[in-house]
Amino acid sequence: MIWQKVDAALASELGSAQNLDAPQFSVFIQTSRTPGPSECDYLSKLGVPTGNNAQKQIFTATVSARDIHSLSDQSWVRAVRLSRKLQIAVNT
Amino acid sequence: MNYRKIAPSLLSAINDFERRDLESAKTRFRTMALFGASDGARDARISVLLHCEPEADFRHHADQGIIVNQRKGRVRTALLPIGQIDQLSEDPNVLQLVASRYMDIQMDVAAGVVNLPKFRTQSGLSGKNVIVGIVDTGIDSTHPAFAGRIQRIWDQTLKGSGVPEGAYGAELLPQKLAASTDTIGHGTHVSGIAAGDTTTYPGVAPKAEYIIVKTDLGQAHIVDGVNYVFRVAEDLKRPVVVNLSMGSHYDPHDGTDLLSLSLDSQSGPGKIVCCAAGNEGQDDIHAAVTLLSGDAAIRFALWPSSSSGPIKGELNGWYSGKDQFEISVIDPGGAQTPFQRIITSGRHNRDYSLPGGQVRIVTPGFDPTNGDHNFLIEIQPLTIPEEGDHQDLWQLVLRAATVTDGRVDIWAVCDTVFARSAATDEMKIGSPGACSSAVTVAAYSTKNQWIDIQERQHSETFPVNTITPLSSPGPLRNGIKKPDLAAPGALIAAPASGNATTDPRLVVAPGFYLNAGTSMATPFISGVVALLLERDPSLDPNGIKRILHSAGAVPGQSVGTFDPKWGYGLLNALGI
Repeated sequence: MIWQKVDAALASELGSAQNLDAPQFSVFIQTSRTPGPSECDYLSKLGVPTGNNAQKQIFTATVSARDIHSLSDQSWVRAVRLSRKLQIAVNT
Repeated sequence: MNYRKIAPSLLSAINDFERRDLESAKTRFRTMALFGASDGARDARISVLLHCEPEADFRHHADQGIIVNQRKGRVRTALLPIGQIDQLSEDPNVLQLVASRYMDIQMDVAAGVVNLPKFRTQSGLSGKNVIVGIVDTGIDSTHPAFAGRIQRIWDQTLKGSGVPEGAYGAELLPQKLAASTDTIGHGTHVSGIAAGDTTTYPGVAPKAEYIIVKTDLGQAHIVDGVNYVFRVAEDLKRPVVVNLSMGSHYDPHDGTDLLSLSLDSQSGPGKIVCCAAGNEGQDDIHAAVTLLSGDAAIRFALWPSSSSGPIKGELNGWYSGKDQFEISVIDPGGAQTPFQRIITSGRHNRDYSLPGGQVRIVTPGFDPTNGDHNFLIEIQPLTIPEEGDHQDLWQLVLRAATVTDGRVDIWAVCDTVFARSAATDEMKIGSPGACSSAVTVAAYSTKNQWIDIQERQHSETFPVNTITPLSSPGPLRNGIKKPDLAAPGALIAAPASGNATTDPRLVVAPGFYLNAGTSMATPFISGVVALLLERDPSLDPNGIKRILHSAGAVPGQSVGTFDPKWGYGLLNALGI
């Protein structure tokens, strides 16, 4: 696990995780380059849709704590960040 | 007769009828939808709006000539003999009866303030052949303002096999749109402002077509939603503008969060995103300190916000990657955690127990995307203060370790607010409003008084014809100028969802209500962008911004002058 690729919010959530195998973390995955075929295969196995979007370097997924450990260890993965909920911008 | 359930004007007209004061009755009924009343007969029928229990069944009233036009919903329409209003008012499922009035064309004052009607007349633009993507709380697809113009809905909250952008939720084509509902009403209102086609309160681009994403508001799912809208619009060979009337303060406030970067990478010619600046203009959510040596304490309070669940305080701090600070927290009783330095190996979070509550401090090394340092503090207090009680102040303590720049910016999120003395009125635009390529929209006030559908007068205290106080100011933490411009955002009339509970004070016409915020200003600009894309489908984000930045001005300033609250000023449609 390369903790420096994990943002503060996700690190905090991982610190509270009970089940390492439950896909419970909605995350962003940022890669350092456009993923090649083997890297797309790796992402696909995590449920990351890569099909027509292979030119991208930012992906979304819902993964387990163990998946995050594995992702952070990939040399081509730059960052894994927690996806949090936004609020609608209304005031009444 | 249950008088309390009958709106005053309807009651007054009925009284005239009962007193056989036909002249007065005719005057009062002139503006109401009355049928067969030329001789003042008591069996003349009247069209009414029915506020009722959503599941109530009124079919048993048909014997009395009372026809309720919808089987379900909180607001329905009915046609009945005037003499049967008495009977219907006694039904326990009826909450209120209001006469259906003939409406004038009521272009809300907002459009006129920015010269939109003149621009549309002169240009002939209406949004035709342009897609407006709304990623929000859904849409009431049965509202007449959207009839026949919703291409599809991806409802991320329904069970289904999803779409290529995400294997979750269900995609609905035009025949099945009603399977997705908007129980909050925000998305329906926003959709109507951008492109509603109605004579009552028309939207900005009434001939545009919609692609709707009902989202759970998770950042990753919003990215999936925008990607979906862009892909479908591309399949349809149409230019597209996506509206995001939402925000947060979890990010570095410099546009390098992954939601913003993803929007940057997906935007381009004919693919535009408009984002809300946020509604924290009057909230003490940002603090900043410049500290070259020694310590500095920043006071903050925890208090229950409107969200449910246990109270949780959170501070999100950012500073230059050239600097190193150590972080500590002091509880209201004076107990203090150890100072925690940046942790570059292993887990970078540590938990501390203080008498005032549990404290977690997270101090990772360089952020891999922007190279800065971030720290996160989470607090679960043991006692829950009363709302507004800021006596029990906590303190964040920063200690300079290795410092050359010294600036630290901190945002209070969740149930946290800074002491007034510590707060600053700047840099309150978070993601996705911080997105570089997005058009970020501030709110301008055009209306603070109104008469609701029950003919009661209301007012709000904010001033009109100026920037709305709640509108979040920029710039970004890295100096980038946001917001981009201001548009009408308070108070704006637009479609109401039949599946949402609407405050009756805000209902101004059958199926329409008022709302306020940068959420409302943003679809106004999304609609304007749709008009621009109709004129030139190849416009990219920079091209759109060049047009919009030069089309308005901050009051008293020349065109092109930036202001942290106004951006480049209030839109003037005649300048685009």
